[in-house]
Amino acid sequence: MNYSERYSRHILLKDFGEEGQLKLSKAKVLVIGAGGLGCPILQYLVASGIGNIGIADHDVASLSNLQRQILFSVSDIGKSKAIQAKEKLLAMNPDIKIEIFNKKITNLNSLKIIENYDIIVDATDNFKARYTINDACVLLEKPLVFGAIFQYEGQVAVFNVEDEKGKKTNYRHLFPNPPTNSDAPNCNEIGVLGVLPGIIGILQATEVIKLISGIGKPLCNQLLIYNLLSSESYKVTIPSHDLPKNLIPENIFDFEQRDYGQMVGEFPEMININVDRFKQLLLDEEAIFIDVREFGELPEADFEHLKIPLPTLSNHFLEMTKPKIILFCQSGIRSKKAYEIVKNHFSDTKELYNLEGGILNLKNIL
Amino acid sequence: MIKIISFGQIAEIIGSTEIRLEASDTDDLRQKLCEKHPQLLEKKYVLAVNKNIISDTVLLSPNDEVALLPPFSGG
Repeated sequence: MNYSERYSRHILLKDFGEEGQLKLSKAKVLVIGAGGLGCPILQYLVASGIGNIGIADHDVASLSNLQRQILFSVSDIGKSKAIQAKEKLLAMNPDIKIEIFNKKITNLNSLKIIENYDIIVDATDNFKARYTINDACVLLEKPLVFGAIFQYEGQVAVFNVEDEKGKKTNYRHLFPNPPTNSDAPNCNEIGVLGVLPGIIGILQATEVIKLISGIGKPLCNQLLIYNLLSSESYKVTIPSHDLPKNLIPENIFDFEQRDYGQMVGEFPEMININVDRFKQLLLDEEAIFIDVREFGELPEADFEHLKIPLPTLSNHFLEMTKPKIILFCQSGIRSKKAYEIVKNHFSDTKELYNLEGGILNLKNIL
Repeated sequence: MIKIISFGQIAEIIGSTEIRLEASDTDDLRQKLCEKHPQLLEKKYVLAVNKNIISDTVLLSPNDEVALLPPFSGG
C-alpha cells in the first residue's frame, strides 16, 4: 500500500519527516495488555506505522469492556482480545506485522517474549504483572513505557532510558515494593470513566513515538500524573539512587525463582521473637533495634536502639543499615504494623523480627 | 504553611486534593497527617517536595509544596 500517502501527514511534519517515519517502520513494540490502556495504545501505534507490534493478552472481551476498550465491538464479546485486536488492527493497517501472545505474562515466560522487542509498554491492570514486567525490562535493559489509572487520574512514566545526564530509573525507584492488592483496587472494583484510559493510553503511545523518532523529551526519570476532573497534570522527578541489592533479581535464574504472587498478595510471614531470643540478639553485632513508639513513651529502652516513631518509618529506611532488624513498641501491637512496612520495603534482603509483647514483656531483663 | 497536594486514594482519605499544614520536615508532616487521618497508616505513598520525589527525610520551608503519590495499578 502507498506508504508515502498513508503517512503523508507525518512526513510533512517539521522535525519528523521521512526519517522519523522510517524509524517507526523499523521499530518493534510489545504492548502487554489489550484492555483500557492497550486499545488506544495499539490503535495509535498501528495507525502511526510502527512496523512490528506484539500484543499480549490472555483474556476475552466482555460487554462491560466496551465502555472503554474501543478496539472491540459487540461481535467480539466472548472472543480472545488478542486475536480480535489483531484482526481489527490489520484491517486498519495491513502493512504492520502483528504477533500475538494469548497468555498471561509471567516471570516464567516474559524474558523470551520481551527480548525480541525494542520497547515494552505496560498496559496491564495489576501489580503482579507490573512488577514482573519491570524487573524483566531491567534485566534485559529494555525501555518500558508505564501507564496506570485510578478513578479519574492516571500516571505515565518512561523507565530504563537514560536522560541527558545518563541517569535512568525504573518502577522500583518509585515504589520499591508492591502494596497488597487491597491498597490499589482495579476498575472492576471501583469503576473508571471510559475516557481516562483513552487519555493515558495515548500519552503512553506518544512516549513510544518520541522514544523511537527522537522528537521531544520523553518522560525519563519523571512521573506524570493527569487528573481529568481538573484537567491538570502534575510532573515530578524520580531520584535515581541505588536500589537495595537483590530488590530486583540480578539474573534469569533468580527472576524465575521469585514468587511475584506472594510479593503482592500474601501477608508477610511475621517472625515473632520471645525474650530469650531477644537477649541473644542483643549480643549480635549484625542486629539493630528500632523503637517505633512515640518520643517520650516510658519505660525507656535500656539498650542501644534507634527511635523511629511508626508514622515516620518509611522515611528512615536508609538508617536500617544492618542485616538484622528487631522492631519493638510498648506491647507488641504497633511493632506488627511496623514489621509489615519494613518487610514491604526490604523484602528478603534483611532478617526482620518483631518483639512479642513489646517492651513491657522485657521489663524483667532491663 | 506547607501546601499538600494529594492523589488517588490518599486524596479520598484526606477528603481534599489540596490542604495546608504547618510542618518542620517531612517526618513531622507524615506524623501530623497520620494523626488527623489514621487510615493513612495502612496506605503506601511517596512524597514529592517541590516536585522532586524524596527518598529520605527533608526539611521543609514555608510555602513548600508536598505531593502525596500513591501507586496506581488500573489499566
